[in-house]
Amino acid sequence: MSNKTFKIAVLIKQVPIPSKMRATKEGLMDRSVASMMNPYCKHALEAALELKDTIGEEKTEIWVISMGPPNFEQSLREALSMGADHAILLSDRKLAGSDTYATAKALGTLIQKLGVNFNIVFAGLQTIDGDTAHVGPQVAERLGIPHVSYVEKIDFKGDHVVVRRILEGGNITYKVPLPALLTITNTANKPRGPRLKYAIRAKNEEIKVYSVDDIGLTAEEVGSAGSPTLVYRVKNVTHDRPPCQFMEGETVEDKVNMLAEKLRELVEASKAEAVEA
Amino acid sequence: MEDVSDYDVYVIGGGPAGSSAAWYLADQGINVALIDRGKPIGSKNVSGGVLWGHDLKVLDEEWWKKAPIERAIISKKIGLLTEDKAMLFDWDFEEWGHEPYVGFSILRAKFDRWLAKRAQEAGADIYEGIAVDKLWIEKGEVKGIVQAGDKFKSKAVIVADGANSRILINSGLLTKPFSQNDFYLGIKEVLTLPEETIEERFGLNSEEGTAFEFILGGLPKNIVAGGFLYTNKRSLSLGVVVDLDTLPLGIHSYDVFEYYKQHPKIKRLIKDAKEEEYAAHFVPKGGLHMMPPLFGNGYVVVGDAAALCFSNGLVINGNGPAIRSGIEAAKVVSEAIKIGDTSSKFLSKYATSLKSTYVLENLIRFKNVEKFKDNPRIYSTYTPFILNFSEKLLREENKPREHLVKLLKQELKEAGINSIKAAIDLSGVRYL
Repeated sequence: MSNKTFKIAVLIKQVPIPSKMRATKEGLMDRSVASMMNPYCKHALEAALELKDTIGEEKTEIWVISMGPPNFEQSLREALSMGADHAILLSDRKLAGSDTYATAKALGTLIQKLGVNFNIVFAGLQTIDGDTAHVGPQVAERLGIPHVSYVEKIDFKGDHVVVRRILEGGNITYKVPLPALLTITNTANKPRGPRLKYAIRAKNEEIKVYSVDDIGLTAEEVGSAGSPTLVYRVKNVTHDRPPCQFMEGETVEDKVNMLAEKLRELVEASKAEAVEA
Repeated sequence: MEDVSDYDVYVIGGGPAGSSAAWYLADQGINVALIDRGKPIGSKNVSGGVLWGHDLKVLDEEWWKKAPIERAIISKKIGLLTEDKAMLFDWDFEEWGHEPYVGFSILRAKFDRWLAKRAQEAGADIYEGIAVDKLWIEKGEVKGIVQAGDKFKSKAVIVADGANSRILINSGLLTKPFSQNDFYLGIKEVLTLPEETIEERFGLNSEEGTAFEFILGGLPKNIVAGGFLYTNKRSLSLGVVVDLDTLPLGIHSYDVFEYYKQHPKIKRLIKDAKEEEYAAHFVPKGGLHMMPPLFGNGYVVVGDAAALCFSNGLVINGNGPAIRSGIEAAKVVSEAIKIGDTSSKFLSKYATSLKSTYVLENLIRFKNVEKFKDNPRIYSTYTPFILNFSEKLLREENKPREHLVKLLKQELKEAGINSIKAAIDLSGVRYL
């Protein structure tokens, strides 16, 4: 196809704008509302673009891959205008209701079907609509490659990468052979904006759309039929604003002093608690 | 990348000026790109919220039937406020409520998106969330634009990036740098209120709207500031315009907004309304002294970027001149492209045609208006005086009354107003 030797795949999902998020009667996410590229996916794309900057534009090729309704084209075009080279959309009514298992099966199959030997696959840590963080790692299992989740730093070393994975209260550094799949945190980078050069190119770029048939799966293997997860019930959870204290005073000094006093009390209280424990 | 030429014209900025220009050019079959820093397009645009006049008729004979307008303005109120007093001139014009309407309240978030969409439907390509660095200039000629370091060739560029144009600044195209003194700061809130409440409170029928403008007197020192309030369908646009140069140390523009919002008169008008949106933006004072060159080899400047905003204290209009200048520029640019001459000489036709419209004519005719409207004594001395005096004049205390002239003299003396100075200041009315 091209002599670009280093091939990167980025998995991208489009999510409802948080303020517009709502569920359908069936308990599924309403995909008809105004939406945007999942923020974590943007970080994954940025990681890919930074890798492209490191290796060299002429040697690298970025494929953005998504699964969802036709309006996901919006995010794929956005990715192209940020600097991705190719965009692929897996779109089929049969995919509706897919859980993470079925989604990963579909995406994994699609990636294999593309016949591109990707050197590295990036995914966002999680989506902000599903919040499972399952799809990335499951796709890696499907592809039979290693994966590291929660990655916030990547050093490219040719045939392998050294990555920093964040943990609660610390981090671990891994040396990972390529190909591999990495899921990227929102602390990893600051996603760039679109660039006119790419945005103009993206206007006319064809977005290749694949159906379930195209990738050789059946309706039973994907969508709700192929999903072991059953949605039992969806509940709308509302909560009040967390308790919030305002520092009120005449001057800034008053307010700062009050705040300092408050913090001191809290520190003392937690010390006392620690002693008790 | 040097020889890439995807478009004949780049329009930088998706406000009323830029979108109107792009719409006109696309209608003429010109290959045009409209680029905006905001995403969605126009999301960084702010104005008080009335669109006066029908400059858009050139693009669509019945534009207002399709545009997301809020209410047709049928009444105008101009008033004076001091801390606890208010005085209002209140006009109702029934004919303003019928075709051809005079002005409409608009919400820019909706309106600008609609305008850009019309340009797109006409054939313009839209690029959102992209900030252009500057114009690409070689040997005094604008060759195109520069974005993220990449150069894009075009036949002409329309600069429409608004007040304090970064494009003109970065391209070194100002003959004299903008200064703080060239701008007011506008601060605005959109407050939601049910439709029926708005109509009941402001004495309006459905679809009808009103526009308030206030002189804010009685602020500390010599602060020059005005307030506005416009009715939308289900919200109010409330804001102040502050002359930053007159703000003393320690008093911020938002303090002025708070002063206005907490005024008992305003409090009654916005009772129970919920804050939905907060915005602030530079407003060019407008006028010839701050106007950058309107054209050059390969480019023209329109709207707020060209400081084509008009205010004389009684009327304030930025959207109208923006649209009109966008269209006038597009007419000339489209002609220039068709005959293949985008030289400064040819594009000077834009300035000439603008002079024949109200846009430049107003700025020329009212070139001294700031001597009156930016005179601090109007705000800090005369406004409080007029309100105090009229309060005494109108108060009935079951005591013998004074004659008007005698009371006036007494009050002038008490307020320490030098009548000669006042007479000179008052003669500034001739600039209006």
